[in-house]
Amino acid sequence: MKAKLLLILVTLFSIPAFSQDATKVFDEVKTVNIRSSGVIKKNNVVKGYYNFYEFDKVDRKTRIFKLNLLDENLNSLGTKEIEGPKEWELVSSGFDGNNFCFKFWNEKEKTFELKVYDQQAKEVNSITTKINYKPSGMKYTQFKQGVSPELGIVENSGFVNYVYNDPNDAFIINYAGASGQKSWDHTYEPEGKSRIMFPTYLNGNNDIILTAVTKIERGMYSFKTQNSLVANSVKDGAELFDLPTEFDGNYVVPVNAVFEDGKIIVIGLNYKQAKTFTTPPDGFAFLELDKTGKLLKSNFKTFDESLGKYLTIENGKLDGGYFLYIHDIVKTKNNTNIVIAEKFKKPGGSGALSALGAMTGGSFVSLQLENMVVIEYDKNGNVVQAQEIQKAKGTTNSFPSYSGFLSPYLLATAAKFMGWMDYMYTMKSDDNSEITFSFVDYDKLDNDAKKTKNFGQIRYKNGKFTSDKIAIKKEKATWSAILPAKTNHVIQVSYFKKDKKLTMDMIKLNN
Amino acid sequence: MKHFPKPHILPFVIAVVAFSMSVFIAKGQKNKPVAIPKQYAYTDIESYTVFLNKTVKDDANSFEKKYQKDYLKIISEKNTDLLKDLSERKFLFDSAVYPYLNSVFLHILQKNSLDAGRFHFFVNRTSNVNAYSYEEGTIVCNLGLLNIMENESQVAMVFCHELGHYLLKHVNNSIISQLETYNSSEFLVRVKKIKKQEYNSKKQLEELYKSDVFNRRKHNRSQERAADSLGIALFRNTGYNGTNIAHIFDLLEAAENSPATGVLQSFFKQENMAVADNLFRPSKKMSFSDTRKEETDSLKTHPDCAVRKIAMKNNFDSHGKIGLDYEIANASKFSELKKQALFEEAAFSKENDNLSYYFYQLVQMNTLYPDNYFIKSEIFDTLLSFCIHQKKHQLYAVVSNQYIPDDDKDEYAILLKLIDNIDLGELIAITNKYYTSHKSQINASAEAINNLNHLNN
Repeated sequence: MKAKLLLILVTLFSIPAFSQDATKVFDEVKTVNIRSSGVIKKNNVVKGYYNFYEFDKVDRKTRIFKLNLLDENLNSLGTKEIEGPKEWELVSSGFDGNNFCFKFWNEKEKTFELKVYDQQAKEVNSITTKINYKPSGMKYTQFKQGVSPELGIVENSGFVNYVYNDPNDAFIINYAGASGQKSWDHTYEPEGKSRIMFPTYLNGNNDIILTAVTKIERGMYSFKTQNSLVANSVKDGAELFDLPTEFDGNYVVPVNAVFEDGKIIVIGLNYKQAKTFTTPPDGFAFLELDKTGKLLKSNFKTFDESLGKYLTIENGKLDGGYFLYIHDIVKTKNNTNIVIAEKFKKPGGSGALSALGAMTGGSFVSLQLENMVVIEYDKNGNVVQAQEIQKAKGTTNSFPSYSGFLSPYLLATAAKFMGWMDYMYTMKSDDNSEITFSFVDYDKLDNDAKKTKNFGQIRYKNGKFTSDKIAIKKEKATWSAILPAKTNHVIQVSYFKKDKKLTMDMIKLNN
Repeated sequence: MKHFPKPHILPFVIAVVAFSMSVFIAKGQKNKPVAIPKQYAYTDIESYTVFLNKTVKDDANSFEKKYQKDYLKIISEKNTDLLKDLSERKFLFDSAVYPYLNSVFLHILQKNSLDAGRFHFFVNRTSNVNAYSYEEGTIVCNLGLLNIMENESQVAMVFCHELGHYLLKHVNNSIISQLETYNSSEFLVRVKKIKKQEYNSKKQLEELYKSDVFNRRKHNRSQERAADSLGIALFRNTGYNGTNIAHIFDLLEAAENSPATGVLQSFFKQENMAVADNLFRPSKKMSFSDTRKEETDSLKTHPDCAVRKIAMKNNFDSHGKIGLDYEIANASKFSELKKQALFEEAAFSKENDNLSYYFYQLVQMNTLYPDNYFIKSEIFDTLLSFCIHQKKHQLYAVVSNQYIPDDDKDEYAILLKLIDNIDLGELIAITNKYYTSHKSQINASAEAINNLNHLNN
């Protein structure tokens, strides 16, 4: 995103020059092109925002950039001047509780660079990885769709990034440590080959980094998967264990992990077959491992037996032929787990074409989306409560006609990768006492109102689920957008063309 | 930000006018008379406008021709802003605080044989701890300054300091000095040279600008010391007591580093309102700079308070002459006027839709005057207003979170955190509780009761 912005450059520029010439000259200093802006998160907690902009040319190849950080209330925290290649783009950021990390992409050199700064804006660590694949290649495109560009945050101990590795269709883990710690990269080299692998950062502490790996088997139409839990040493990246998560016919896709009393507690989706991409999950898995990856305890609960008390569910399907797509699982302060899911179905069954597609001679497939569902599980996998949160029925964008024969769950997974589902993101407070799930809704906010595009929030606090919605577009604004913000808030950015005015309002939700 | 939420300390500020402020009134547009309550209406605005226009022209003509256009532009913008503030109820012309402070000011002029016709004196309603002077002889005292002063002699010393700035022509000297710099061949050649460069031009311009700002601030600091010296000389002629004057700097410092008083938590506890302690807990402070403090210090317009305090103390000690703490009022009257000023500052916050700061002020006032019915009614109204705005998702319109506290114990930051954390249901419960506890003391309108009932349903 490139936007012309007149920055408020701290106190330094609060007194402009008098003379017109001097004013003009100094205004040039103040006028900048924003290269990128974004949210700084510590896992699911918004800690602030960054603006990255080009300030000056050092020589033909090098630029002076400025990195301006704002806190969660949009107060400026400071600006750092950095020299770098002119091709630099800031891709993502993170905060580990002590340090900030920024992930840069150098288009010319084809490198990713993680730079770690302490709170005095001093660079304390960095690591550069040159990619070994073609960014336009099909396999990388798939990898990019399935792997989050966000940094994994190791509490007070550094940052994790995953880079595609072409030679073995796997990936490289980058770790940029905090001050005084080593940075390293480690190439994941499992036994046997797969068509593609998707790493997901689960958690990390000052000993290990946990990654969930989904491997899709080779073969044009095979969607059989193998899942495993990989642990690397924070110290040097050495692989501590690579544990396949198939246990006596239970195929587990790890979604979340926490460290408790020297043990690793993993929460995942449980499947009765090795097609975790194409079939709906049958339930949840709760695993307890020791530090070496030895399974100490396991508990598998099917939806039919656990969720059936709260929602009519049979063979993974809800009333009306809906499936549940599980977006996230988050551990609460009370040691329970909250699951956020979205109801969806493929209208008319397998291979159905949309009416529009049929009329125009083309053939399109889209998924029908319905309510959000939140479920709270205790640590033994028993449902504490489950609730449907109303949202208007909608459809995803259309898939190509050849997608018609694909299973609804595979289409949902693809829709999720492409950001077509209504679920937006999960946020929480530092201590997990509050958890919020956001979604898009296209309904009336009041009985008398027209249908609008709305931002919806489900909040879990004090053991209760509540929800609230606001219209995304501010009245009279030319356009508005919503940005993630501190707990129970969103930032509504609105542009008023007539007044040439951009406003940013920190809106507190009511639930 | 509409209004600085916390007493912001710029002790004895020289008003080098707000050059960067946007001019909201188009050129040539006249200020339309609006119905302003008597206590905020300046009756002599027409003659004051004529005075400002004449003074700016006379002053401009006294400078070299090449600077006149820029000078006129700067001062005209300042005058426009000042007149706009006067027409927007930002100054106080009541029948108690204003006449009193004006009398102190006139007393100083009289004792120093200065022509009162050359000066204008205003009282700004803001709670910012500050006083300032303009180039044409307008001296302004903020209500926030009065509230931290212990007696009349201290107020008089601040006015003497501001008069010092005016008499030493600090504003005009600064403007002309800067115009000289920007129009000097040395500066212009340097800018031209930098602009011709393909690389590092912005960086060098930034350095040039920084060094210019540093020089100006350094110059301003020397002006502050000069204004202190002349201020002391003027003060000596007034008959006021000088023994307590150096203590002003302690008061300024104390106001800047507001101590943790626990007033908010005490208030909720006293009202038996169940507000969990964790709702008051501020977030862990983050930073992304180590040069900020260093630069801020270098950019200060004022010399260090401790240094000024010692200089002032030595001066008064070496020329010991005991005067009076009060020439116009007495301690009891002074205390009563400070109370009025406190209510006025709060009203100003409310008028500016800064309800979070208004609530903060009300709670502090409630501690000082626990039996005051007006405060009780306003606390109820403000809590209700928070509920209504929150319900409409418009709390941001009356609560500004853009505030960086000096420390984690800052009371206003704690209040902002509470407003951030508290749920609508809890807020309504608190409002109900407060109304029930003080029903007989609250003068609630039918509309307010209706709104409360609506929220409860």
